[in-house]
Amino acid sequence: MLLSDLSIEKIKSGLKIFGLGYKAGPFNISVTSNIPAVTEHIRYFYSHYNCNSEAVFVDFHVEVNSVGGYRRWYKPQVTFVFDGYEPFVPLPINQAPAMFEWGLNWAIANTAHQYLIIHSAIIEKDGYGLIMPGTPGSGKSTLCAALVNRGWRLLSDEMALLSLADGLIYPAPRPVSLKNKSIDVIGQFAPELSIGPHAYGTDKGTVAHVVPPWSSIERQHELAPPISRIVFPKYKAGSQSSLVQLKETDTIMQLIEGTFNYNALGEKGFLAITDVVSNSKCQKFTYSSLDDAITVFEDFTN
Amino acid sequence: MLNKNIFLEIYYNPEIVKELVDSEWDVLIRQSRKAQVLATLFYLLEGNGLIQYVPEKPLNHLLSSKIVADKHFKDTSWEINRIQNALSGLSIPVVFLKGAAYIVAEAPNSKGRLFHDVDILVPRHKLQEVEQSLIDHGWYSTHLSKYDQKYYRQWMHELPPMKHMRRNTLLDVHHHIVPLTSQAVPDIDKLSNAIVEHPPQSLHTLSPPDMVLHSIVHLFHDGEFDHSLRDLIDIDILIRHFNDKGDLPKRITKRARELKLERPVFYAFRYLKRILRVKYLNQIDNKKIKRPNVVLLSCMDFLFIRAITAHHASCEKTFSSFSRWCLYIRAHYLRMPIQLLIPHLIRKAIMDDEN
Amino acid sequence: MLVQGFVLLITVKNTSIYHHALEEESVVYDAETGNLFLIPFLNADILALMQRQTKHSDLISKMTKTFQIDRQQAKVYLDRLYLEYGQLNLLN
Repeated sequence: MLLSDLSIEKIKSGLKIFGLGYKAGPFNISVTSNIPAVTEHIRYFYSHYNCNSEAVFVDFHVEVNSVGGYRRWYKPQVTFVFDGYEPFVPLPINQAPAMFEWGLNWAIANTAHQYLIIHSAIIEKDGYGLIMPGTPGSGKSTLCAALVNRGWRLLSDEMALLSLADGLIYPAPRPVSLKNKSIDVIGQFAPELSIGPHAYGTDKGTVAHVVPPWSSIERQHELAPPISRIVFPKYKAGSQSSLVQLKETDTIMQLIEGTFNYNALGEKGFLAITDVVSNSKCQKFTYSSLDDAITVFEDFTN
Repeated sequence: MLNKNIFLEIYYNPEIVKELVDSEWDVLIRQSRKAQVLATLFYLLEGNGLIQYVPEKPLNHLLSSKIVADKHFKDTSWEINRIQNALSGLSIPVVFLKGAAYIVAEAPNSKGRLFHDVDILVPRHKLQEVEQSLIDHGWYSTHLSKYDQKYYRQWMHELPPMKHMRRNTLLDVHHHIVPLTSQAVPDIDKLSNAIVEHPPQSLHTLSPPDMVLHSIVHLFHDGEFDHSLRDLIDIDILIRHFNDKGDLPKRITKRARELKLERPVFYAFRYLKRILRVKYLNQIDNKKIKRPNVVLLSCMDFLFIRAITAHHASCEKTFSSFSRWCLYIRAHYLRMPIQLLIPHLIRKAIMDDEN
Repeated sequence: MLVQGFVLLITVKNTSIYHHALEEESVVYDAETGNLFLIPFLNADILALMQRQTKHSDLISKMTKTFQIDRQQAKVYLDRLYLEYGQLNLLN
């Protein structure tokens, strides 16, 4: 049963009282929120996700609620709570949907150590897996949004979940988050894509989310094969597309820095990362045109 | 499953995990995580051969918490090594306390625990040399405001916390186990004369009864009740670990009398029996230990039992955070005379607000 | 012995050192401390041999051959490496 099959009343009462439960990749999530924008966000972006039945084990109970007291009226704020932990300071209430997404990422990255969790976009086409580590200013989300609109399956735009037990990738597709200029860029590149409401004035500027392709959501329980390529994207206005081979030792160091739970995993984490790197092509990709980028990536799977 | 502490039910009888349904596992994982006993739960189940009965999803959470705890264990073991190394030139025994002591003594509660700092005990007259040696090996002093420095050096039983410049780890150097401004200050020489050396690296800890006493004092006097259940469990595990001859509770009682720490021991034994339902205290007549008067006792019961429950919404008894606040004030009262306490609390409140 | 594209595990007592040896550098992971080092490939090679308690004379021979230097230079270089690796807690 999908979330879209639930009545609005059921969704609202779920969010208000018991928690609205759905399955996102390998995790069962349950959300409570008293903020209408969050209700809208979930109805819009998670309509094609499977609901959880009532008495199931939930991996992440999260609460996204407005701050009480005088704050209800004066510069209202939102908090994120996971199992009694409040990892962030309250944010302005217009950032509630973004805080929900960031908070869930935080909860997963801090507690799901059955996976090596790399900060990257991860996509797949015809059995060929590719990650784009998320260095600042890389434009990885923009590139990711463009690629999944041209035949690539979205596994995640933020966190690659690599199982330490079996080496496979566990998809967890969620709304792709875009920032500032890239919102317009994607709007033009793929006008048929559904882009959600903008949140202004966040730490990262203006943020909006894109609905992942239905096929990516539908196939989210289909495990993906190990990674074959690691591409560090770098958007550079006016540049020609170019691919440069990277040293594997440098790639290892970079991935270590970009792995959320590397510190917790210790030795296992190091081995898993060296494993990924030694089995992948490691490259830096400079580009300015999304269409060019699509073509280059197309070639990878040949 | 509201208002039920499933973790405690399992602590009393681990076999019941075989009967838990998914929604109960759900509440259990959340209760345990919030009370910081999730990894303890893993080791409890593993020790009883019950991991095979844990369904896949809750098992992922248990294993993840074990991974983090094991990493903490490894990192802290190295930290102990470096501290011993830094102070090896001083020819004094460096006594490891609290969590670090559990590792040195190879006590079972060293596994499944999160360590946030290392505590050591050194002779007061050697403090300056110790501090200098540490600085020479890369540590530096934090809490540099004049007020904080005075608070620690003059009134407390420890130096201001030190931090290592490369590893970013925290080290607390104590010269006593309670602040000097406390109402009851045990004789430090008695503690020093009983310390134990552990091969092969010749690391030192307090003697078993003293180690338990220190944990008891720490729980019931130090005012930190965020992980009170976990701390009570530590005391339970320590007693059971060192009780091979069956006479440890009696030795603790005797030692408490010697060191004038009977009141916290009274409370510890009372709550070990009432909350953790331990059996080894049946021989101890709590009536022989100096007990508080009836009014004070029922007040403490109210405060402690509520403060010590797991801090999760599903089993938070009413008044728990109020109770914990009362206990925090009480603990500080025990540590500082009232005329020092009020300005200190005001200052602390202002600093927290500024942060 | 290091082969292109291979991860080698060398365990001596409580310390594990992993090489990922490609191009000019190795990434060395010390499992006891969690410390990571990027060490020139050839130096990492020597480190692995030191960890295995290789005889001093054998190390000198290897270094004269690998680095194309004389025995005296090799001795000085080796002493430097012992000092540096010792300070990094990579030797037992």
